[in-house]
Amino acid sequence: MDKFDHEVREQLKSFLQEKIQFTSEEKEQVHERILSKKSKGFQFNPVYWSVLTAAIALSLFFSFFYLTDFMKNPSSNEQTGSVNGGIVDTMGEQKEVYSGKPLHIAVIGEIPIVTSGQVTFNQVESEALKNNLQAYDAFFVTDEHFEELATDEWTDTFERMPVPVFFIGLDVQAFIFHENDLDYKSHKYEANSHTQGFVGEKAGGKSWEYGDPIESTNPGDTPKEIFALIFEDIEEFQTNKKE
Amino acid sequence: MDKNRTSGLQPLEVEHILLSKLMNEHGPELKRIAFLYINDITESEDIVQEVFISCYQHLASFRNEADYKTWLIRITINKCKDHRRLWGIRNLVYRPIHQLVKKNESAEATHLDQQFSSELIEQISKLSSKYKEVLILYYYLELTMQEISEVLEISINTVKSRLLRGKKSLKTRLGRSEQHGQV
Repeated sequence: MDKFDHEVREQLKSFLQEKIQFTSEEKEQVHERILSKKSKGFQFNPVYWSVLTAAIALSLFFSFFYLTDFMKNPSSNEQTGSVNGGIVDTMGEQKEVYSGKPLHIAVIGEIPIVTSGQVTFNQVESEALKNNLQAYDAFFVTDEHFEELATDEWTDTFERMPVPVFFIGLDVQAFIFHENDLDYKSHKYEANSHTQGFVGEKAGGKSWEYGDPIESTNPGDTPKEIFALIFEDIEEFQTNKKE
Repeated sequence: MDKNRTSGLQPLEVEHILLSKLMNEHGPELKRIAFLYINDITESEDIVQEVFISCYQHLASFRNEADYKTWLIRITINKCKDHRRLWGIRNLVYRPIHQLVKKNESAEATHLDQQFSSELIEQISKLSSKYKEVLILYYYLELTMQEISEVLEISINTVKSRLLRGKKSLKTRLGRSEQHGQV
């Protein structure tokens, strides 16, 4: 022990012994606190009251807004739980619901499993692409008809398509349908998306793409959200056309 | 504890008597340790009360693996560490009104706080916990390396190295303060 140690020790001891005492009042407080803990059992701390009150207030606040929204538009609330297509709502979440204008869609191939009161499907033959086009808001084509419709026989038809045609689960680029000398079999141009659609040049030459490509071309493997997005685009296309 | 004196008493009474005895014997020392650790008289009062409440709650399970003094010192150091950890949260989130009143009303405490602003104590309390606890036990309680090792449940070599580094750090801090004219 050196000089520094001695000095520190002396200074500490004298200082602490003079200034810091454990008083009888403090001892009494220890006994009182022990007894009060025993008699009170669980004591409700003001913090707990504050947290509980805040939680109740928040619950009431959100319940109020939910009820207000429900009263304003009960139908849209009912649909939220059902399985339909998908729309991006105001909170940024994708819904599986289409709640827009009624649509009438012709399907060449397998009718998709989409239960919506707003969308009516009609299974038709490929020839319907050439006749009675105005009877439908759009066409859906599924995988069993890709090869047949990609032949040059149909190129002109697709080039002049006045209503949108969507190829559900198409695994190649959709331009093979409106370009000559290209077919589905050679599979040269892999798709960058899950489902593609377009309208002919005269109707604006617009095209659409949805989702990421997957291995399967089975329409049953198509995410529900994609259908709802397609319905939204069909609705928008038809609205703009009328205007 | 003298069994003859407590015979015929209820267990609860026995525990309160034992607690009083422990408070008389070790209360001042424990309060000084707490004060050295956190350099706050009001908080050290609270900590020591917590130490004895905790001691009372665990008296029945205390199995004399260590003596009462070692046990109580260990509890005190742990309570001080907890206090340091919880300090920020308690002061940011919630501090009971009665504690604020107590602090404001305690002119004695304020007076002591001013007097206790000894540079030495302040610098010890600012040291890292691992150095501080060794220095407190060495300087104030005058424990040997072996005893410090038992109280803190660390090896003697660790005690030696922490003591050396703690002393060096304290000297540096005090030197710096002198250079800045604080001592």
